[in-house]
Amino acid sequence: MKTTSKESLSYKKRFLLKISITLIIVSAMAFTALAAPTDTSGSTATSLSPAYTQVTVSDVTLDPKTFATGDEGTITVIVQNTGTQSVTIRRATLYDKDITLLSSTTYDSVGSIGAGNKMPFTFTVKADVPEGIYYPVFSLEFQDTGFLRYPVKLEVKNSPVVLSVTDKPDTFVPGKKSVVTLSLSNLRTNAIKNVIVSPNASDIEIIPQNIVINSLDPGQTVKLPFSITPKSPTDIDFEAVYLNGPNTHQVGLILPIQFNNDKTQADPVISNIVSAPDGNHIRITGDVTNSGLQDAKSVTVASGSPAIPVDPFKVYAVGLLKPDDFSSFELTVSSESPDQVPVIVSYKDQDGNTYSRSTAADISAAKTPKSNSSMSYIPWIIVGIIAIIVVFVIGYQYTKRRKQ
Amino acid sequence: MSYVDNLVSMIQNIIDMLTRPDAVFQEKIKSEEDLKTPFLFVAVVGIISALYGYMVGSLTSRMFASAGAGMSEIVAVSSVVGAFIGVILFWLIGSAIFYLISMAFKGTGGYNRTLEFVGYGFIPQIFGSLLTLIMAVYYLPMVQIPVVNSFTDPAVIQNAVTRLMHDSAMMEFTKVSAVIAIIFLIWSANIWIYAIKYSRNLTIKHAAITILLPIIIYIIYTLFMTFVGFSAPGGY
Repeated sequence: MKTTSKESLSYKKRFLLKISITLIIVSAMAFTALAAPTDTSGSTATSLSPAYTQVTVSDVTLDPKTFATGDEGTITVIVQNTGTQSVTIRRATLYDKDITLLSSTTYDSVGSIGAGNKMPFTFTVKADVPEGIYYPVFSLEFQDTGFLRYPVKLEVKNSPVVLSVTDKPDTFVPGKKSVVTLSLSNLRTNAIKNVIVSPNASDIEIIPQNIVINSLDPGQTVKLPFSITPKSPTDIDFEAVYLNGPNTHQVGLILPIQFNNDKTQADPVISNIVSAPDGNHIRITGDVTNSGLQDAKSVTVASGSPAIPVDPFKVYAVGLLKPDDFSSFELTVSSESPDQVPVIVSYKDQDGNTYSRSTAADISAAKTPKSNSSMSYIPWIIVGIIAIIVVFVIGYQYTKRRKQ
Repeated sequence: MSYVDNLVSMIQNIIDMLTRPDAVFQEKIKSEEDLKTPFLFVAVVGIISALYGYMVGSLTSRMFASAGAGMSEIVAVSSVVGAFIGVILFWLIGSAIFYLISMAFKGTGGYNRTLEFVGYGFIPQIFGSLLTLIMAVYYLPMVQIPVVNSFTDPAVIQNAVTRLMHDSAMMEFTKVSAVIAIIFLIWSANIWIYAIKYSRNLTIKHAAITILLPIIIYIIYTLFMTFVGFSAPGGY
């Protein structure tokens, strides 16, 4: 029995030991089981930690590059997953207390960005702010945890685009073509595009009607020549419209067109007018001198009303008269013309505009019967006397010879 | 003989030639041929004609003044040279014509003798050309000169020349000078009749025919062109 009791005791001890071991194992398993989430969590943290370090901003694009106050534009941020496993992005946003975000589309549920891939995020903003440099923040929130924040530099500058007159004639003459040269300077720090410069005015011929410039780089100036043929005094409103990003801007310039005498224009002057009888008519001769600084083309001289022009010189065509050059002219008018007749010189400038000037000529002296008697009779009397002498001499010879 | 005596002798010879050429040539035919003295008379006529030509040339050159530099000088020089050479040619060709016509009347005597005697007949032309020169001095300043701007159009030049010739003063001068030329040509013809009579040994009748035939044709032509048609001013 003792053996039995001893055996019973040993059985109990082994049973307790087994229980204990089992408990220990179970406890260990339970601990392990309990401790497992902590280990899993720890391993996730270890694996997430590279996720927001491997996602970087690879490029930022602003359109326009430099905003003007009130300009709308876009900011495009390109992120790249430089890691080896995909990363899930929960949302992306851009925020700033001054710059207004206009984007209707939001990036609240972006998805995953694969390893090595790039993903663009575009935001429409409005820079309704004074000049300055602003840093709206681009924020990228990952699925599990972590953020990527990237401040984007946005410059607001109101540097102008300047339209100015660089060359124009001293005076404008009705109907005369003149060249006006404008210059358009881009003083901004970014290029402007689709520039259209157009003049607006009435009763004036302007060529070209507009000038288009595709792009004007910062600091660049272009010359804009316009041929202008005004008909009456007016103002020309030059307007340059251009794009700064998607924003349309315009700059204007008003050029007043006031008429005056061209200081360099041709100036044919009539001088040395002499009138003399020419058969039944009166001949007017004189000189026409170009005292201006430009060529006088197609110069003609004619007698105006109330003079009665007659052939052969109703009109005298001189042709081209260069500055300081002169030409003689002659006109024939009827002796029925009044004592004072206008001598009209007409000429054209290089644009074909016709100008004329009238000078009064006194032909009364030519109308008074000249001392034709003295001109005609005295020489004839002399000739007659000589003829008589010759006849006498010859007659005397023959008389004498006949007598001999 | 002194210089004065020579001068007096020459004047006497000239007066004799003008008033009694028959007697003068009758004497001269006996002497040796001498072309120097008649050439002197012809040359004097040529010089006076050259002066006259210079005046008319100046008038014409003023007409072309605005046509181009140098044209006025060319016109003036050609007028002077042309007038002088024209008188010499008139002497040579006129003598040749008389010589040829006289051949029809079986005239004898050389051409040089004819040339010499015809040269004496230019003495009245000295007075005639002087008188024409005086008339030119009187008339030409009154002439209204048309303007020729270009030599490129012949019609313009022709028109200007026509207008110059139809100027009232120029037309008057043309008539006066033509009449003077005819008067003194008749006087010269009178001398030339005796000149050809003795140089070609003709009768007075044949000599008169020889001279008057071309002279009358010339006078009729000159009168027609002066008073009916168109002629250059002057008779030389």
